[in-house]
Amino acid sequence: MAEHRPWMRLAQRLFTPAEQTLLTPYLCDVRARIDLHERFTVPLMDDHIRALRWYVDHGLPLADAMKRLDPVQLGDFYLRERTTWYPLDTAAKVYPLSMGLKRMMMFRMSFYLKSLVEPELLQMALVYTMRRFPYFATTIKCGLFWHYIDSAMRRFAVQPETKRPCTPIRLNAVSSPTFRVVWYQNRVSVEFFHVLTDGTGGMIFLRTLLHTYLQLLGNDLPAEEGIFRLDETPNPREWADDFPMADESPSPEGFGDKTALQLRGLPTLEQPSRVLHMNISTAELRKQAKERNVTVTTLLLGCLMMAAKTAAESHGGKKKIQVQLPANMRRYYPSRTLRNFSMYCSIRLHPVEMTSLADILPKISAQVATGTSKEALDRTMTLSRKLVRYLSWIPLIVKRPIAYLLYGRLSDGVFTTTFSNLGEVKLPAEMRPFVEKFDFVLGPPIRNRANCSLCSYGDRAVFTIVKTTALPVFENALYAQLMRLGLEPYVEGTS
Amino acid sequence: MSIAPMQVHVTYPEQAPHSFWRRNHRELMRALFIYVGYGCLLMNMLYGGTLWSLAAIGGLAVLWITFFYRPLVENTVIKKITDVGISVCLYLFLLDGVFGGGWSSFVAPIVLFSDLIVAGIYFLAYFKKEKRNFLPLFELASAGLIGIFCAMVGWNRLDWPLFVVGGVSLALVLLTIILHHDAIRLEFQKKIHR
Repeated sequence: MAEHRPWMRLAQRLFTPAEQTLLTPYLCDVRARIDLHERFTVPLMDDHIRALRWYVDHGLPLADAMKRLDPVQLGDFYLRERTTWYPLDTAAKVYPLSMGLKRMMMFRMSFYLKSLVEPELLQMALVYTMRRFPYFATTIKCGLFWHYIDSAMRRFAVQPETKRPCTPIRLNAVSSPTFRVVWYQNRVSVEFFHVLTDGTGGMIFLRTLLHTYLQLLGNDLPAEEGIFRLDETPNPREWADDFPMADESPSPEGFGDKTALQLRGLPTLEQPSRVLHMNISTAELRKQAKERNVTVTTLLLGCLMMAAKTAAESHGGKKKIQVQLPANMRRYYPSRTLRNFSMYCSIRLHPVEMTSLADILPKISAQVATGTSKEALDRTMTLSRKLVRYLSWIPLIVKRPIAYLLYGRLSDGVFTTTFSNLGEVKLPAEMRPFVEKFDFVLGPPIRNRANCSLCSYGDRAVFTIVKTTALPVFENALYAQLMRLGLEPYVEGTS
Repeated sequence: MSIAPMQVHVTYPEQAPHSFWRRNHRELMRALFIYVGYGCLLMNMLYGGTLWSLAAIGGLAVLWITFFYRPLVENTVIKKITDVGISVCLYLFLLDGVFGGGWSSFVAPIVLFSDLIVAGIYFLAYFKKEKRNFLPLFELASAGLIGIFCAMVGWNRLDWPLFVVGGVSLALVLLTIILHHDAIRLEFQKKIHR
């Protein structure tokens, strides 16, 4: 029989004969709930065996370990073929069109535990979490006119972190996932291809994964604050394309803009060239913003634009420093979607008018208020919907090369950099003792030299810079700006 | 106020040292192919004569598609078979155009129906696994049906290879519909959604 059950070899290696007697019916039960290709079934069975071994090694009796890894938690997720498919949402349609071998719109979200990650349990947490997120258990496919997302029957694996953050994912196999989960020391990161979700959806997935992981460690924790319960039936509104929900604007506009000033420096061969996390006290950051009568986003935009002025090309012409600021449309519409539902606005200042931080903050504040208003975002949204409608008759084979050539010029070319503020990450009080912080990383841009992002958790705000050039002028200038504000960032990152 | 330089505490693993070749082999190979192509064109223009450089560039393109090109999405066996078939057919037309002879409209359909047969057998034999990847085969079969239609209305010559192309295309479409109509209807909906 053993040749038909290769995972038994692992069980025989890791457990005593007495333990194997207990184990065999359990493994049969697990196997009965899996109907995947053998190349996924065997590792999935091995995941269970390794996790059981971990529990036994950490003092839990085997019977209790098997209860904790109750096969019921798999449901029929790995058993029945899912035929569900999802057309891409309006924002996501451009991402697969414009991707290349080394260019993919990625973002990454991480949580840092107060102890080292246990990979065996993290793997099982992912196995169970996927059941609640059928929309994430998918792969990307080509249609005649657009790409689409198709269900994938496979095991989703966690891997030790070995590559640079936001390295493009290989999507060309039959069931390639559109996200990856990696761990390093006390950090667990999920890197998403933007086609799948945006920051809000990604953070729900990340927090649910964290919740499941902590539960597997033996903690009894409530699923609140945007964490999904694994035994709930997924709600179809979670994968709805909510772009049609937005009000139709009579004057659609928002994509065309003038070419922006770019930061100096040659892009390196390997991207991103550098990732830096500036850890700041949230309370201090709020205090500084309040003193200047602006929001945290505006204050950091100010610092960022002043740093960009220092690091930008010569300022002689009419080109401005233009920062792309994404805005969450869920603020204005009652959306429950995990898919992309955000738009963006542009904050523009000419370097000549940027004399000091105090001078530019009121201007930025006014631009943020106007740019992120519902009316302005509705205009951009209406335009994006119209564009998609016009392009829907053109075959993919024609659209793709054109989009590939134009995307960098039209998207990155009109911005100097991007600043995405995810806001405060909340966790139930019972989970807080286990988690040190969160961070949020945007993937390397195509033409811009840097991308910036922020998220906060408790008193730790993490401002992240992703660089595509080795020239350190921008990050040094930004660090100096933050130091002058008295924020004293503790900087972590790649070597 | 003097500010101390930024100290970065490394929190990422060391990158495994990969060779320059391993990291960039696709780009390097592409660059090599492009330079060889340009080189041929330049030599041909310098020395004149028959446009042999076009045949060389076409050959390089077929070589690239066959051995190096990997689509970013759906890099499947069916896609590879159909891509190679189409590129060889186009190359035959190119060779005929450059060197003359008027044989391509006879030979290319033979390649096309052979390709259709190979891809079709693979598709039907591994239908469960390959049903989601049928689009390139469908496009090829459609091209075959358009080809025979054009010949039947008299827009081009109706030789036996073209007749076989039409027959194989039609048989493939009908067989798929008869054997797997429910599954293929769903897949078709996905593929042509707008």
